[in-house]
Amino acid sequence: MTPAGAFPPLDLSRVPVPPRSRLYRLAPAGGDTALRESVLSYLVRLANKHHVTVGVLLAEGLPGLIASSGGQDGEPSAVLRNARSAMGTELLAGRWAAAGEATLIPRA
Amino acid sequence: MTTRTHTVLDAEAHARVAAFEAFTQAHPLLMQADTDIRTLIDEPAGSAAFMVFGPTGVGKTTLVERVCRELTRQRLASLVADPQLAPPLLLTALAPVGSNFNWMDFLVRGLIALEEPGAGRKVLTPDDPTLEPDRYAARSIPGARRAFEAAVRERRPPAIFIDEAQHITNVGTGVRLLNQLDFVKSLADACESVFVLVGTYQLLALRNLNGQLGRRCRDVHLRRYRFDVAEEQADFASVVNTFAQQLPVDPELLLGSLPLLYRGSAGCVGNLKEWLVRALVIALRGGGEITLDHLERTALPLDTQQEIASEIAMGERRLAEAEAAGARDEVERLLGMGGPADQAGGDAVPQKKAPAGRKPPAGRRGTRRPGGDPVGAR
Repeated sequence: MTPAGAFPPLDLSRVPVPPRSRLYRLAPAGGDTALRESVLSYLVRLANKHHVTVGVLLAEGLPGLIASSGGQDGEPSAVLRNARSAMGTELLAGRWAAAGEATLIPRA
Repeated sequence: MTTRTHTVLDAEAHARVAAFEAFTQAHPLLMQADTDIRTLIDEPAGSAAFMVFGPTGVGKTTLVERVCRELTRQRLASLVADPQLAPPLLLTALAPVGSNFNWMDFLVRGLIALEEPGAGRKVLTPDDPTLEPDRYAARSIPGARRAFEAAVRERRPPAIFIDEAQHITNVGTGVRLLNQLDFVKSLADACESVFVLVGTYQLLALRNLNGQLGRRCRDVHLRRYRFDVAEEQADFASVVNTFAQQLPVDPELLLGSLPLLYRGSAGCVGNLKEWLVRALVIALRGGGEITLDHLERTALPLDTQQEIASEIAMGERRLAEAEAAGARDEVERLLGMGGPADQAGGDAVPQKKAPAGRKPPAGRRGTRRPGGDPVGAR
């Protein structure tokens, strides 16, 4: 009979990784100047970087933004309907920026 | 290994089977391949893609899971600091429904694994954001490919593993086979990442299809334990003994049945483990220990064993031919390293030999032989 030893067990347990950001960390154009880009401009650039249309980005990447605009789950039309008023410095622009930040920076 | 529910077993027996299915051992050939792959990923040295091949049931998927785990562990601090980065990506090349491998399906699955929004709804977006995206290219391979490349560049996984990569070789002709490897290499270049193709010996069809691609591709062979090599036979016995310690079985019974276990598993640890799981289920159903009868009843059919053995023999022969002294001599001859043709100043293009028993033609066809023609004869 062949003499036999024994090998140690091999650890294949999953290493816990914190949740990943679905969206890229894209810096807003214009920096901290008066020429900083609008929320809409940012969304268009972000959608381009992800190779999707703005509608798909809103529906799948930024569901919080749809909720803050009173839209149904996965339905970007409410956001697009109100898009014009998000260009300035009114309440909706603030809501959108907050919803975007919550998605883009998922750290605790 | 996937844990399946054994409905015929009670809860305690089921837990025992699940515990054995989850058990993996650090046997020497697996650990050597683990070190080799991680060395290649750390120092790719110009290689865009690696191949990891071996017989069916040798433990390739276990190996890849192990490497992914270790790469994730090494990179954990960066992953915590930057939520945009991705851990190593493990994708499976699914067997095609038709005759050809489906790259579109593969790329979409890759985008889903990278948690990309709109994975199945990608469009070709222009560099200028004021222009409209090309919606007509949606759900096309170029659109999905550009999106996949961009996503990998942004998320920078340390490596992309493609398990069951032999399915990529499912194409019609040799030219298309070359195109497949070309596609993988260019994808790896555009993604700026390392691709690791993992599969059976069928992958050897992709190896060295041409020099330019072969230079950029290196490989790791995860092979079986050889019964005719004393050291490897001893290691295989230790593998059996390690499994025996996790099972309701007399270790002497398993070690005394080494030739049977070797033949039925082809020296591959994954095959052996699956076999022991089957025997364990039957033994627990009867409420006792694993016996020789259980092993014989749950062994793979002989024709399947024969098929596995012949695939191994073919794969190993192909590798041995590539490494044989004759192949080295041929390389040296082609490079003009001191052969008789080189001393005579001949070029390095291989010359076709005339078939034995036929006299080689003297001079050009249609040219008259030197010598005078007879004159004055009537």
